Amino acid sequence: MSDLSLLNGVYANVEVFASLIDTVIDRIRKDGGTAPGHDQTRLGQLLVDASDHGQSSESYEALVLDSLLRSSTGAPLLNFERLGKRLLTGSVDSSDQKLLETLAKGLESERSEVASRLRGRR
Amino acid sequence: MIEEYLAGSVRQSLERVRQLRGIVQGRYPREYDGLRQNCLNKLDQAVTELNALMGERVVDVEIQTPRRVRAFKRVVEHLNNVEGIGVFALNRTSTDDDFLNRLITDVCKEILYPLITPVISQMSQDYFHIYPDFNLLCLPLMESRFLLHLPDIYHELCHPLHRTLDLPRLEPYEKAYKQTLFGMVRHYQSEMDAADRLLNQQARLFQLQLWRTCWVKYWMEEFFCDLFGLLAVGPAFAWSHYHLCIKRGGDPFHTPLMLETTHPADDARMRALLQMLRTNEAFRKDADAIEAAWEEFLETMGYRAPPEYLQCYSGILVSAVVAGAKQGIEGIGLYTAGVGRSAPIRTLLNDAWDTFWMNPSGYQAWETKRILEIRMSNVA
Repeated sequence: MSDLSLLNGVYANVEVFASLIDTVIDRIRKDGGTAPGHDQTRLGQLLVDASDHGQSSESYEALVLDSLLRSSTGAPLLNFERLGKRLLTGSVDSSDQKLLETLAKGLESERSEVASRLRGRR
Repeated sequence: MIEEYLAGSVRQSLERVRQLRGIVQGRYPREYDGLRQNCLNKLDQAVTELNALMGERVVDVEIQTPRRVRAFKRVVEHLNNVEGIGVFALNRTSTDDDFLNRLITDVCKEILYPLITPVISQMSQDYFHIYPDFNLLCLPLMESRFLLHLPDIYHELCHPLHRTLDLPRLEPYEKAYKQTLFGMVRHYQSEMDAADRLLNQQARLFQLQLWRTCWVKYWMEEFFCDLFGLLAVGPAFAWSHYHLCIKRGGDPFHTPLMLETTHPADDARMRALLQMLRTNEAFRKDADAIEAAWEEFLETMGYRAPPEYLQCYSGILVSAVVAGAKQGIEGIGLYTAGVGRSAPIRTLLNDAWDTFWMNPSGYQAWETKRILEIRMSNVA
């Protein structure tokens, strides 16, 4: 009934996606991301699916990711579909790495916001 | 510099883990075994992650370090949680907690709760809430001595279902939840498409986008938890919502226009509860009584719905949520409230509200006596 139960759920989701994005960033740093592995493919597909809020794929995960990669006013952080497709095909360049960093920063900001709200009410 | 800082700070965190482990390994009542194991597992995980950070060879500071700092912050948050939630609860166990832990065990048996019974601690400084990661339900300090808010325990029991939707036994619930969620997305999509066809609708599109995000992130789960509570305990849950709204609530028609909110409007929640109550013939009179009390409250306090309210929480949407929740909750075999469906704690909580309304000013004496009896008996 208090915010905490809901915020805990959001926090858990943020962490899952934040770790996934950081893993992909690290992978691309190491091998350029030209041969997409499991995590890169998963993230790429999630971003493609998130571009229509998971509707066509009926992906709940993508719908949740879409809701997290938005500002507190509900505006999306960037064009998910383009980045997702590039991750899937392995045609990643430095501008995509910057976009991934933007997503990672967005999630980190959401994580610290939720964490401070959790701490503030504890 | 920042990498040198990480080297020292990671070691500090490892020492913190060592000391926390010492506390968790102390002596506690048996019902806390699950919580202790949970804390130990989380501490092990933190050690693994801290060691990985310590052992990583840093080649490219520009790319690796921001990621490493983010990873470090996440581990620190985990440690803060173990210390501030799990270990804190262990550190302040009391006889009131023991009573509540017996009560929650009986509640879970009664309703055929599909997950492991959580541990209860009266460590909440706010209201009822649950940490699904720790399977720890927190109540305010005095709550074991009163009955009228206790139906809210049933609401909290539903949140962990949302963290374990992939469990085979929760499949009907998962299916109904996701169907309802995507139904909501389609509802807003058609509203957005309609707005898009008109000119100068940016503000409207922005609002619809905000509401959809709130529904996905928070509201749908909260509605499902309310409806789980209602089906599990019956009218007492709706009365408890009424009780909470009067005591602690703000504007029951609050509709976000600029920034997201975690909780849906209290009036929308009450509408959903009443609708669900009326799906059971036996509770129609209760629903009428609760609705009359709610309307009187709104009227007395002069609350009015803003124009956006029914767009955000449209009747179609609320009805779809009620239907979806009923399908999902009944689908997992929860022992729901209804005529002839015996369950002592559920009966007690409904009796409490009946007694309250029969004689509000004399209720306290009845409640004090009942609480004493329950504590003395083996029922809870």
